[in-house]
Amino acid sequence: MQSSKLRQVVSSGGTWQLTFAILSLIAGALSISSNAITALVSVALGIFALLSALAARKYEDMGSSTHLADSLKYEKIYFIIAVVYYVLILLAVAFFAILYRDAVNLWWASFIEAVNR
Amino acid sequence: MFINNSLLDDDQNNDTGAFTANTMSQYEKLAYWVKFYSIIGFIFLGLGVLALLGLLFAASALPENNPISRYMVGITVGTAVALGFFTWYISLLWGYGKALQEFADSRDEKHLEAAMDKRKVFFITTIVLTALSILFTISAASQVIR
Repeated sequence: MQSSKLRQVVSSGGTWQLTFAILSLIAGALSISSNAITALVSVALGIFALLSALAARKYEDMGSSTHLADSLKYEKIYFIIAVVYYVLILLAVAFFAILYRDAVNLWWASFIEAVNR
Repeated sequence: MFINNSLLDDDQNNDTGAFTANTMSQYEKLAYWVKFYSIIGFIFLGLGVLALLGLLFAASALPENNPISRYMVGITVGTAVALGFFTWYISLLWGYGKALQEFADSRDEKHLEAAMDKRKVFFITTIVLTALSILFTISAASQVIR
């Protein structure tokens, strides 16, 4: 594949990533008063998606591997933030399930009873 | 088809912007985190399926003439549709991570093209979901103000 075509393939989706970054920043700004943690995560995701999209655009223009590596690095940070956020949610779910284990046991017993019926 | 070795030169010499050792290492790390993210998505999907089963049993336990049963059926069908969509979304993400990993392992262009296609669809879907969440926030805020 030619270098220019390769650049297009690699940086494809950069425009969509940029659109997502702007929307994510708007969503974060709108929900800051109602849900601060989700808003901060949304803003952080938006910032790193923006950095990744801008680096991808530079890569498409100039073809330097440094910009490509930067774009991939920022996209990796984007996914790390998302992973940490959802792992924390899972831990919170597990924490409340342990805290209210009597209610969970009751739900489970009625669930099993319904299955047997 | 394997990419030309001239495109795999080191960072200093003949920087074509293609796949240097540094960028290939970044692809590998990105693939790891994308796959990890999709595994968490599958765990959430499992929790969603449990919730759906709970709804199904709750709906079936209600008597037919109960006015709530109509809403329960609606909620159950809505949850099933949402879970179906979520399954497709998470599978797309898993496919993106897998294609990236295959590219990092083999340096075969076709895996990179597959990965970029999936990445594009992933971001377009995420844009739609984010736009919907913005609309929801605005509509909820307008209800509160009213």
